Order: sequence, then C-alpha cells, then structure tokens
Amino acid sequence: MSSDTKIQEYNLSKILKEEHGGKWIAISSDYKSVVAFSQNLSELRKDIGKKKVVYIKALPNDTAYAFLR
Amino acid sequence: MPWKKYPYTLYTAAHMSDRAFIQVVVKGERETFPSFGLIDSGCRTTMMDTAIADAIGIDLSTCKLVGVGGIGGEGKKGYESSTTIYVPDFEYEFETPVVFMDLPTSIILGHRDFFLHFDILFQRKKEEFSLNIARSL
Repeated sequence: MSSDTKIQEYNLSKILKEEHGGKWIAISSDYKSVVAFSQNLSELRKDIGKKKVVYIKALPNDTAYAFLR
Repeated sequence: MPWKKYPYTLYTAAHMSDRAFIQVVVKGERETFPSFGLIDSGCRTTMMDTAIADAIGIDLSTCKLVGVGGIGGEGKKGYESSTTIYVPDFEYEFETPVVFMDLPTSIILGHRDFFLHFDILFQRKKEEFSLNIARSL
C-alpha cells in the first residue's frame, strides 16, 4: 500500500447525545454540530431547506443489533 | 489512486461504539441525499432505511418486495430497487442494487455493490480502515 492519505475523522460522539437516539439528525458539513433533528426525515429536510448538511439516523439508545453495538 | 485511511467513527456518547462509516451521497433522479454509510462485510446487498427512498423520489409501491434475513432474524421484508452512490472522498460513483427497509441506521454498504467498487482493508488493532477504488486483477 503506498502513500496513504489520512481522511478527516467523523467523531460523532462529540455531538450526538442520548436525546438523538433513534432520530434523524442533520449534521453540519464540518461534522462539528447538530443543526437539527427529528423523528421524521421528511419534516427534518423541510426544516433544513437548502442548508448544506449530512444526514444520519442515530441508532436507538436501547438497540443491541450485532452490527451496531 | 492512493489509499485513503479512516479512523473508526465514534458513534454516540450513549454507546461509545465505533464503526467503519464513510460519507456518501445517494443520488435519485431528482434529489440527492448526503449521509453516512456503514461498511459491513457481513451484508450481501446494500441496504437503506425506507425514509431515504422517499427523500430521493423512489416510490416503494413500485418496487419488488423481498424477504430479508440475518442476525436480526428472519421473516422481514424489504423493497428491492437500485440507485447511484457517490463517494465524495474519491469523487467516484457507482450504481448499486439496494434493499430499502426499516433500519436502525441510515445506510449499510454491502458486497453488492460497494465491495465490487472498493478495496477495503480493516485494521482493527490500529483502529483504522483504508479504502481504494478496486483495481482489476
């Protein structure tokens, strides 16, 4: 493997809190803050409008899926 | 193209779990959806939460209903379709089959077809993984 390039870390644990569990989150494009969150993705997208964000569905706080915990 | 090295993503403070996430953009005919995808070598077909289908303009009522099984159990149903995934870090996109179903996360990047387009090196002990566009043998 030659000349690896290090990519920016997405440390979401700094911004995702327990209240976000199971909800759709809009994260700022620099990954440093939560812009908004909602149980419903279409409502969240309406609220966000044209702002540049990245969406993620945060796993529920009580989830124990093998691939998630 | 040089390999790109990623640290595992710490997910939530509640779980303190770390996963192999990368940023992707799902492209529909009219809408795009920037999100994170979890790279999962145990997942055969790329899967997305049903809410993403609505966001990119896919009508699930026109999709084939398929059975989905796995660690989470058998007897679940999903909607089979296809879409385009763009990976910004590589400025690379590919078409892939996808199954939409209710998921506890946004996107799971599986063998079909993420693993056909990217070489992936997991190095758990170093707390990192690396990606490169797959080269023909």
